[in-house]
Amino acid sequence: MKKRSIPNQTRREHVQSLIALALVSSAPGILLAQDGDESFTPPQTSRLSSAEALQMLAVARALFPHEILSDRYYWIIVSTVDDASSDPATASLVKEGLETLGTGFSQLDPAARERALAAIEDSDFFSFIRSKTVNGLYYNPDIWPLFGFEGSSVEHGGYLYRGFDDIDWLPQDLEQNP
Amino acid sequence: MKAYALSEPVVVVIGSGAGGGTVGYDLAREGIDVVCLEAGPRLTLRDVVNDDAEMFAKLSWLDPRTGSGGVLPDQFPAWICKTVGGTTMHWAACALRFQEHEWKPRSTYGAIDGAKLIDWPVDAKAMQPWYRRAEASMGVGGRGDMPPLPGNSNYKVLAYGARKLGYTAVSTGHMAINSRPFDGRPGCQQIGFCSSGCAIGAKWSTLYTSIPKAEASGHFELRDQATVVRIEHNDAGKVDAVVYRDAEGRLQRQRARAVCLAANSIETARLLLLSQTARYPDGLANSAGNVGRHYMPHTTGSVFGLMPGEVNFHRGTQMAGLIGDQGRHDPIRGFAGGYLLETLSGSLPLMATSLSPGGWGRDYAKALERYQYMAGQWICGENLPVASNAITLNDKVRDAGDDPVANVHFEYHENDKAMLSHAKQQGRLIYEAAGAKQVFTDPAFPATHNMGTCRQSERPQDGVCNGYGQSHDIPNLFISDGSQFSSSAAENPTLTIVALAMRQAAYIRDQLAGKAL
Repeated sequence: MKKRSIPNQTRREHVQSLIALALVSSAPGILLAQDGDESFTPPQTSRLSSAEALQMLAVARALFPHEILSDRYYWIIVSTVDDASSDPATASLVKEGLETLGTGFSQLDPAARERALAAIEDSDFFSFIRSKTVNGLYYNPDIWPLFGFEGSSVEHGGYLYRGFDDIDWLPQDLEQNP
Repeated sequence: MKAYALSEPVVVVIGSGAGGGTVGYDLAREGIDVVCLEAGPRLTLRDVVNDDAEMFAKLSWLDPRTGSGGVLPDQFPAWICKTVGGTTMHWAACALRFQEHEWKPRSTYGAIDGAKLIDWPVDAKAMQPWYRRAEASMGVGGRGDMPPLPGNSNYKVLAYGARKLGYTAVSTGHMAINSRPFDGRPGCQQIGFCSSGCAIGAKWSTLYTSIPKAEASGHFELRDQATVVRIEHNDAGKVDAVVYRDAEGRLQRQRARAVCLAANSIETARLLLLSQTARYPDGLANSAGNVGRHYMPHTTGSVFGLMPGEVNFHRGTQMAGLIGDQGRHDPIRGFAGGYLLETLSGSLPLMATSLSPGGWGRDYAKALERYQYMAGQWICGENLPVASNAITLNDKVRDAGDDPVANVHFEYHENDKAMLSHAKQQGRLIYEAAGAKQVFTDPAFPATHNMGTCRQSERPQDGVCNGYGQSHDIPNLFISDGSQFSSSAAENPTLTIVALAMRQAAYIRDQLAGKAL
């Protein structure tokens, strides 16, 4: 389990994520996943070169590797990073970070990718891309069903009659409560 | 609806949450004219959706604030609300009474190095009728004729593990969430998302209870998007007006015969400090130097278990699950005071950022793929009053009105640390007893419980106000929120805030009738 060593910063991140997503989630321009991967075309990037975009894609997947997720969800993060690179300081942070990881990053096996990222874990670049990835990935409602998170429930009448207490695997060796 | 002229001397209530909404309603129903100033906007239930990020933006106090001390985040130390209803929109609705000894922490725990313990000027006996009244008005499960809420699957995991360890004070707690229709509000539908606002109003919030009832009394005007910047006083030293910025950004000055300050512990202290004058050079009600001090956000943390079967903890009430056994004072554990363990759940995005803050990599991704197998609990423990844990004005950071923002300094006392490590271990053992494959223990979130910054004290030199929340220095200035807590106790604070506000309203009514104010 990788864990950053600056707890204050990481706790703050949770809230900043919420703030950032509250602002972003209602905005247009977010690349929405389409039906069927065969119809999916990777987005064009305007600031990242296509090699950098592919490298960024590999980084995003190495940070939160889910076999259940196709590349389209990680491409959203590449687009977000590309958009953020309209700011010159961010652009150079990203370019330098990707350079440090090296062009061979995408060819590394999963364990080696993780080691390469661990080596730069304390860098601003790492904080930046980790934050972009965790937000871009898990706040995307399209992936929720794949993880079993059911999202908004009020329109379905909540779970009162839809399994709020349907746990069935607890041992029966103790008297259960109300 | 009633509207008052700025020149009319009314009781001005600052804040519309648990404290302000309650004291305002109780005064208005007695025929006392009240203007309630709320910094945030007025939402309706239609504005409440099951979306954490959207509701965070709608409900939270996002104006700048700073933190220091290393426990709470330094850019966002507290997660509290700026909306009509205040933090009763965000609260998870645990409505728990203090235990008898918690009104007397100094007598019970003795002197503790580094802590400024005092007993409350009120005690369990004096509070009992007010607790009953608060519970009856809010509709609290397991009190009166309101049945307790049923437990969801997350509760069942906690209860099973706890009983396996020999715990007996295991229940769905006392929740201010309707288990059946009450007071024109429906019963809980086990929707989840309690802390992002209850979309059907089954959870008690002043937004749709006390506030509209107060308005119906004909003695209450709510002004939303009214940000108070100063409380003013007359030559006699009594408060006589409240200056606020209205929705259009214009400064307004409402005359006041008395002021009830309920802006949540951080802003309450900040407003008193900002209101300094030649007569009160350190701020209002601050002759003893205690305004802002003894800030207590509770001793908190969370524990998540990856269980052997599905839990789906996002289904149902977030916090209807309580283990009370460790709430007692039992110094043999190595710390004074006690803590509670309460169920907690989160959406997938919330868990991705908080299951192990800063986590990443293959193992972390694998853990998140076990979302449906997660069980969660929250630790809520007494934390000790320390003079240097304080709200101060940060001159380096200014808000929209160019006033210094609040800095929230908080560090754990050794007692808090010992308690937290004990609590995390117990939380872990509970999930392991229920078969957890993996357990994560997390540090504190931004503070949602904020207490003690204008505390009650018998002797004026020990605090800011008396047992009715009336400031020692200025008789017509009242503290009406969690700021007045002399100690934090282990329980979630809202029920006690409401009960104290009701008791205060009765006192103000009597004082006004007797012309004492």
